[in-house]
Amino acid sequence: MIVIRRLCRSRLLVVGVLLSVLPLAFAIAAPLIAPHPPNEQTLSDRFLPPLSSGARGYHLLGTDALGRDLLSRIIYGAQISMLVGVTVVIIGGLLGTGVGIVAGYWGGAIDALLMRIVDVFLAFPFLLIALVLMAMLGSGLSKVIIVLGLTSWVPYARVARAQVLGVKEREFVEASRAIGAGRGRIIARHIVPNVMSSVIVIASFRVAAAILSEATLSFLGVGVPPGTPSWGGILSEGRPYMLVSWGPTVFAGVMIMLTALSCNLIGDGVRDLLDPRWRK
Amino acid sequence: MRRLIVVSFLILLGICSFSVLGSAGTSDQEFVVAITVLGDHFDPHRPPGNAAYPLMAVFDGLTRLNTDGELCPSLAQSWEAVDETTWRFHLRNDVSFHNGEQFTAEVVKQNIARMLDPKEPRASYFFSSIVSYGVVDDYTIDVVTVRPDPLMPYKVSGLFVGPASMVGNPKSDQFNAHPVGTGPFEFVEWIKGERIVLRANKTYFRGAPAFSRVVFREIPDASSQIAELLVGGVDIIEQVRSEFIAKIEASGVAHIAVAPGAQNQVVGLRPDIAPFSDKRVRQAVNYALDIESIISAILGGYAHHQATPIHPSDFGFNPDVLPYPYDPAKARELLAEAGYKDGLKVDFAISSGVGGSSYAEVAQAIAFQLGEVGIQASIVSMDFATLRQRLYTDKSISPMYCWNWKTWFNDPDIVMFGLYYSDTYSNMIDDPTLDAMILDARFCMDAEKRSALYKELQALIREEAYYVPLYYLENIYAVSNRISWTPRVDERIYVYDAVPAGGVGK
Repeated sequence: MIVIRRLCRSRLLVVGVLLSVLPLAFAIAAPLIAPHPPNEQTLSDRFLPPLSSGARGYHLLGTDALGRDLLSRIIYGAQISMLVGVTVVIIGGLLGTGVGIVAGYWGGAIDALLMRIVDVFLAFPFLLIALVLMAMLGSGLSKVIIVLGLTSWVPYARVARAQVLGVKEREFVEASRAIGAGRGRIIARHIVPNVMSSVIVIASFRVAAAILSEATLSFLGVGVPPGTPSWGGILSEGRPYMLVSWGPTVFAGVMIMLTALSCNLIGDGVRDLLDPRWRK
Repeated sequence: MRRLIVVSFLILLGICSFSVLGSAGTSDQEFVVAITVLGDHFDPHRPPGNAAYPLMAVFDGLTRLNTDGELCPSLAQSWEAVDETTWRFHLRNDVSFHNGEQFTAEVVKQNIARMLDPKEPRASYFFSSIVSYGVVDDYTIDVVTVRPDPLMPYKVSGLFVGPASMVGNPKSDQFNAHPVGTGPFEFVEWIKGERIVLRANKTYFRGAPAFSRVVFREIPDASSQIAELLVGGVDIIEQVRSEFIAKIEASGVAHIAVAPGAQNQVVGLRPDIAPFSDKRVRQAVNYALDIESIISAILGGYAHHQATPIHPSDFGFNPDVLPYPYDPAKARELLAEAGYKDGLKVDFAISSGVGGSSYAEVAQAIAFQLGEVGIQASIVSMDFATLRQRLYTDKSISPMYCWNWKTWFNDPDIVMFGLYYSDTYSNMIDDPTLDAMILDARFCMDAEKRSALYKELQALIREEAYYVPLYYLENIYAVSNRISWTPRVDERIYVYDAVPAGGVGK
């Protein structure tokens, strides 16, 4: 009860969680709640406006340029966005935290080398690296995840390293070392748990960034292949026809915005929650 | 909250494209053409590509094609076949370049030499049959071809002529810095990625042009192009999607001009690798596609279904060769016969540079219809340079790919060579019967025999189904009401053709 009450005291967190209900429900239950198959085309029913009926039934949000049900595509699009958001954060988080702990704990030349690599990554705009990598690897969902994972580890590395530098000189770490604990044990039992809270906060922010990056890449035509229902793809496919049919662009844009907003609010909430000053 | 700004940016992108991007409003004497991507060169002898319209305004060929594609005199006043393999061109003696240099047969000779330079990227595909050329007198030149070439007078409409002082340099630098030609417009400035500005050549030998300035503006986004047209920032836009026709017509400031295009859209089926090495599978794909529905729904009816890439208006068109009918049952049957009873999977390469503005939707409709007969086509989109490289050089393109080839001079020769002849860069087809017939037709001076050959060829390529011939588009232009302009059959915008609507100028 105390935990729940404390959670509820963070209004940001509550709003964020409420906002995430819709996209999460879409992602988990897509096949159950989508009224139509997302790729079923009816060429005679192109650009139906929201709240209209076509040859294959009712279309709550209307249809797109190929007569596909927009609501179903947006529901299935949530799967791609969530999948990308979560896997990218896992890949980036593991990689970045690992690099940060190694750099922070070992220090010296290894630290200098790893941090220069971090500087190099920071020096290039993320989108530039991602576009180059996508051009080399080719498009596709798995490649989007790999590319975004490999380009998103830097913030974790910097934060983890800073935490490790602080923690490794603390008394309890020195005490462990004094009683003969090995390096592996110290890292696993003392360093990692103390680094995790910061990493989790970063991760919650990065979920939104990953979803937006997938949308950006798909929007630019190098993300998931045409036809795959992804929010970025729906947005970019709808854009040339905005004068004729506003539905695809607006609804996909709203979903991206909602999801990014909820991730950011949850991130803010979690940070407040883990902040010792806030607990008092 | 920076993420939010990015999100809002994405959402607003479309809306922003409608905003007015600071248009000064054109004067009565200025003509502004919107171009999606400006060309990357101004060299008269390189393949024109996106640079075609500015090149045509600054340079002249020996001959020219009028709006209907008919052959007309230009720098050459007349021409004749001296013997089977020699064409003689009689040149005008009253032409000078924008920089004052005189136009003579010697200059033409140097231009042909530069065009045929094998070490540089040249538009030489038209001129590969030339074996020698020589000056007869100051204003007469002979061109000798390896075998009879009935199309040579048409082909030299693409031989743009630059001045003697510049053609000596094989590289493009000088032309890119300040192109000099004989054409109706002189070069003023080229701001890369933004605009090309030209001014009227008042002493042009066919009469001073109607506009004192021509501007080619690069506007990549289709919605922005329409918005600019409606506020008077540009005078002509091309490749308008059929969905916007009503809106433009209703605006009162611009009208729609439509003309059949020359670009033949096809889906390539690689006959050299599985699964399309089996003719039955290639035919199955043809039967599986309902092109008529795609044309009427996605393209608003602004395209014509083709049986082969030969147009009805082309020399030697065979009206008895009809497109494959839409017959999914037959397609499944053929697939089963070929051993693909449980269907098959194939990659389908597409590029935004091929197939017109709605091709992404067309490709998805194709993939969906193929799925209905058991062919799972995964669309792989790539940029045009990658597609071309995989097709031309690496031969690593997926078994199914989008492609197109333009019909030239209302004649099947170029498109037959481009799409079907074994020894050209883009083909994986190796069909000796086809090759022999294409070559025979190319060098046949007897029109009747040549026409019969092409008729036979069309029946053959329909049966072999190396491609799915899709359609040729009706090109849709939107033109400001201030302008009077007729679309050309070669799909190009020749700015000299345009006049102010009231007939002012010229």
